[in-house]
Amino acid sequence: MPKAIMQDKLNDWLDSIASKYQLWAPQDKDGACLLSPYTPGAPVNLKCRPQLSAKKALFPQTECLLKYQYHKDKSKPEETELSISAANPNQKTVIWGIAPCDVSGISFFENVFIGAGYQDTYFKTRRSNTLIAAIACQHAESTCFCEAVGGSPVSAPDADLLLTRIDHEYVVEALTNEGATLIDEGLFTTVEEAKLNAMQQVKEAALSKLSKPFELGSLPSVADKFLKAFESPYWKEATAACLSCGICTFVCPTCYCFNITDEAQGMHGQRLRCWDACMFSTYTLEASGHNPRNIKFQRYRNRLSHKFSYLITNNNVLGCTGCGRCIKECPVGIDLRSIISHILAE
Amino acid sequence: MKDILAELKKKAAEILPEVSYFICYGSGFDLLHSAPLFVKDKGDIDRLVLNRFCIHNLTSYLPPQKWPPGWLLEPGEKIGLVLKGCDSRSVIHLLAEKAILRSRVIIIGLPCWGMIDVNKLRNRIDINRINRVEQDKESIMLFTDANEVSADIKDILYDKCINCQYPNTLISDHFIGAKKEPDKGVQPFGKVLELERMSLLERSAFWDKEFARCIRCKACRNVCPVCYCQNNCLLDTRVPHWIKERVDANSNRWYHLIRAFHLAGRCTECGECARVCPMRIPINLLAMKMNSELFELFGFRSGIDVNIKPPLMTFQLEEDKL
Repeated sequence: MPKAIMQDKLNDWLDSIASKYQLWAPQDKDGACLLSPYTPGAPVNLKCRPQLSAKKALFPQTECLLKYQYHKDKSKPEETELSISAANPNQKTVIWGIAPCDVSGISFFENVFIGAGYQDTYFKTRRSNTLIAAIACQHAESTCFCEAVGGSPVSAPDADLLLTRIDHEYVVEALTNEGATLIDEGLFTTVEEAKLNAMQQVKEAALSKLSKPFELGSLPSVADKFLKAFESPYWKEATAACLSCGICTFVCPTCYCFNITDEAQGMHGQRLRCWDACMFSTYTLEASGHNPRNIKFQRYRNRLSHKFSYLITNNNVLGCTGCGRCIKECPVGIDLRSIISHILAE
Repeated sequence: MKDILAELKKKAAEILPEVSYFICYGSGFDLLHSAPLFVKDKGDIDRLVLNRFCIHNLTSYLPPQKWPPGWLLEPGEKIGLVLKGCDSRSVIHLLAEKAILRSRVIIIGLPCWGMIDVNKLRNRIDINRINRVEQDKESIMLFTDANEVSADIKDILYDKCINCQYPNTLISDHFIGAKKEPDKGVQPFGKVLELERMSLLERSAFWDKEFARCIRCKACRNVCPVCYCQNNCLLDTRVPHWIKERVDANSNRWYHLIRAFHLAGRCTECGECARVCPMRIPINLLAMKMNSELFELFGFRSGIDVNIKPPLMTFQLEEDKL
């Protein structure tokens, strides 16, 4: 049975979670809304769409994979010993207050990082130690299109808790047993039927706010259309204004490309995994100097075809959750929705 | 603004046969946004838009070093574009640096009454539900199904547009519309002075906090009209690896400070770097600080006169000001 908590009790609840878990929550910081580590008492903002998606909590922009140390014994100068300690990011974590589109992003990551083909220890460890408290999204922005890519603003089946705001109160539904353990009895009240009906109405109202810019059709047919459009002159036209920056990839909940670098300091160092972006011209630059995706339309075409074709063929998933961040944050207003519509119609 | 738009369309149609692209503004993803529009065919001229949301500095697309052959233009092709006063400073600076050829560019100039910062509308109305916008020189009306607000333009302009010194395009082949009087009594480095009033520790804490947010998406660099080193940028070279791969406040600080030094007397204060920042870092203030130093030393302001050599591109054996 769902429980309810008053808005002015949220911080008490979060403080209690934060005493047992590392806690991420959306907060306003200097004009930007960010999903950040929560410090007790800090005001949270459940009405904003954080600038960056929740992927950063499970797939940090800079992640130390291992630390290494060389040892030299002066009596045996020809020998070098190496010791390595791998990171084990097993801290118990709660990601709180994220929208269903960001939960979909996390589910998408599971498909790639702990799917049938490959198991990434670091992501797997983080994910299995993380609980997700999602919030039904009632503040769709002019760039949102989650329904058009198979999502919903008000349901998050892969979350552990789902919050729904009704005026100054939040109804909290436990979707898993572990999620239920986060509900701190003292702060919550029971929910009567009238409130459940109100919750249903709020959810329906949120659904009616969404626009559906295109009809996707079956996933294999989408994959096929993008493949067929590979040589289309439209790509060049659609990306003429592109600046080749990394905003769309870095804000995206499903972009997962990374680079691995050894950062040495004398006899010791760290192996780092950092976000990379396929929109950077250096991303595909080869040691010979050749660059197979030298022109910006080739890079943009690859980014979209990856999400709407190659991932469908290889993993049977769509690489877009409809959060709209890439549209909202693009400095030159490139609108993914109109490009998808165009390719689907071509 | 409507008559200027009609005239702009007429001029664009005239110059279109001479250029590979005419770069201007088209509609954006909603009524509060415009977007750069690349017109190739006459039929697309009707898509031109001119309103208070045409903030983008289209000069970013000009330097051929930044957009090598194939990326945008082929060698020898001409480009046409519409420029606001502030943006035209970037062209003047690029010409002074000899980074672009005047003969390759056809510029349509116009007067500008300032552009609206959508972030300043956020607290007034639900900006995601706007279905109608009415605007004139002094005010704007925004409508949603449930609500309407009017705002005095002065309260919602971009910071750089408040007290604009250069409202008219400074260099153009065709100027349309009547020129606007520049604002008087302008303090060009006002924001920099505010930061300088902080103590060293306060200022250091301010920038640490900002640099910690940076995700190094390189948008500030890529949008910058005078940042055209492309793959030779300190941020992209692997040998030597000037800037660590690690993204944290410390390595971000190096990136932004070195970039600011490279922009000394070159930044034309268009503010695009701060506008595009997805983390809302006021990164333009660093380059502006460098500009204020050069103004104090040499009385130099970038992007005003094609014939004045930028201070960091020249030297005198006996420099009397140093």
